[in-house]
Amino acid sequence: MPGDDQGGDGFVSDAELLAAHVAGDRYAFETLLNRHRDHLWQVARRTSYSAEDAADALQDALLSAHRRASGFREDAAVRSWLHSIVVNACLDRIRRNRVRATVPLFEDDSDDLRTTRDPIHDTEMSLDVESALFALPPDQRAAIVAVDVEGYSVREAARRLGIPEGTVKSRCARARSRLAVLLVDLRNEGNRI
Amino acid sequence: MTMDEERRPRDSAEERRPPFSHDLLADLHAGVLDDDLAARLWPLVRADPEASDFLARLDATRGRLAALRDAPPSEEMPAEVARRIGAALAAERSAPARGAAYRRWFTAAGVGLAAAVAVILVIVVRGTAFGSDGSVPPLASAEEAAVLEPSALRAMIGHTGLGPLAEEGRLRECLSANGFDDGRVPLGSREVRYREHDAVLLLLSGPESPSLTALVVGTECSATDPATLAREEIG
Repeated sequence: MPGDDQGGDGFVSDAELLAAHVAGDRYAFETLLNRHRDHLWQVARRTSYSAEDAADALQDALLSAHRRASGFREDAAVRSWLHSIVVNACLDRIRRNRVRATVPLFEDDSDDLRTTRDPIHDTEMSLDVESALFALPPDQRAAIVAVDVEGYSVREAARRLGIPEGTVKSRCARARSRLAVLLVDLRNEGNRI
Repeated sequence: MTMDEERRPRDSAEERRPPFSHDLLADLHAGVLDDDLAARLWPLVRADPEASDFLARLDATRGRLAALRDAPPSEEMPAEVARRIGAALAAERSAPARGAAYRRWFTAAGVGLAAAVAVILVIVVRGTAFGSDGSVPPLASAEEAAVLEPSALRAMIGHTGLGPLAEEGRLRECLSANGFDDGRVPLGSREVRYREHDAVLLLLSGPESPSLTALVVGTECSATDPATLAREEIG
């Protein structure tokens, strides 16, 4: 896996950094996060309704990882472990916001899309997958990220998001339909990312 | 949930002959349609080259999405987010131990910052730094002291409670009046009652990461009135 544990040649691996953190090295955890910060931010951003939610969820996730490091299983890759904690924190935040009936109104997110991601003025243009995801309504993006990117079952995604399984399926269907149109170069260029 | 998100027993004649809509094909592909309609549609869809082509694109889309999970990042974490998380982790290091293992990790590392927070909070609560008339202000009430406990400060990170300062432009003007002209955004904020004033407690990134600045201002804080009640660097 890219960016995952690396050892040998004097390079301190992710697992060694995490072990150092558990042993009391106050800088080891930050060093570990610096290796993966952009990856984890991107995971949070695509899995959250808004950039603000992503920042909140990522903070929650990393504080949780900081506290739970001693429970890390040696047979799992450290980056995958962090990745999963971030995804779950993002999905859980969406569910909690929904339960509290304070789901963000999407104006902010929509502005964000138009001003910073702005992936589609023209649906005929070819897009990379990451940009195309941000052309989706946030609820559809969260569902398809959970199911198609992260590999959650429909049932698990529904549980995490606090919505019926049928809603997850429907949102995924809408999202795939739109992405299939947006990713117009799909057949010609294979699985290029 | 909107109607288009429900499991739809659609069965109009138009939906059983080409050209099939993309949405219908995506619903069929995702298992959204009821079983009877799906069973009738599948043979018709497979016999239609255009529909089959779109189904293949849906499959390929799923493949590209799956590959995204471990793709290299194309976007950097914003600096403000990095600063905020760094500050939260620094505050976490100063937190009281949560268990034996946690105590073992952080007893040594956390002492410095925790002590600094404790000392500074005593200063803030007693108000010696910002007493308005030069006299020693009365001790803060127990309620004020509770608001300013280190655990309360840590809990603030990531939360917004600006009160009147949430009005457009007020926060920026207030921060500027207090000497923060560098565009710093609060890591957290909370309305508090402080020394018989309605006030707002702002937690900002300090001049040197991972230090923090705790700023207490009256709710009247504006471009021309800093209304400073307390300000201390932490860490």
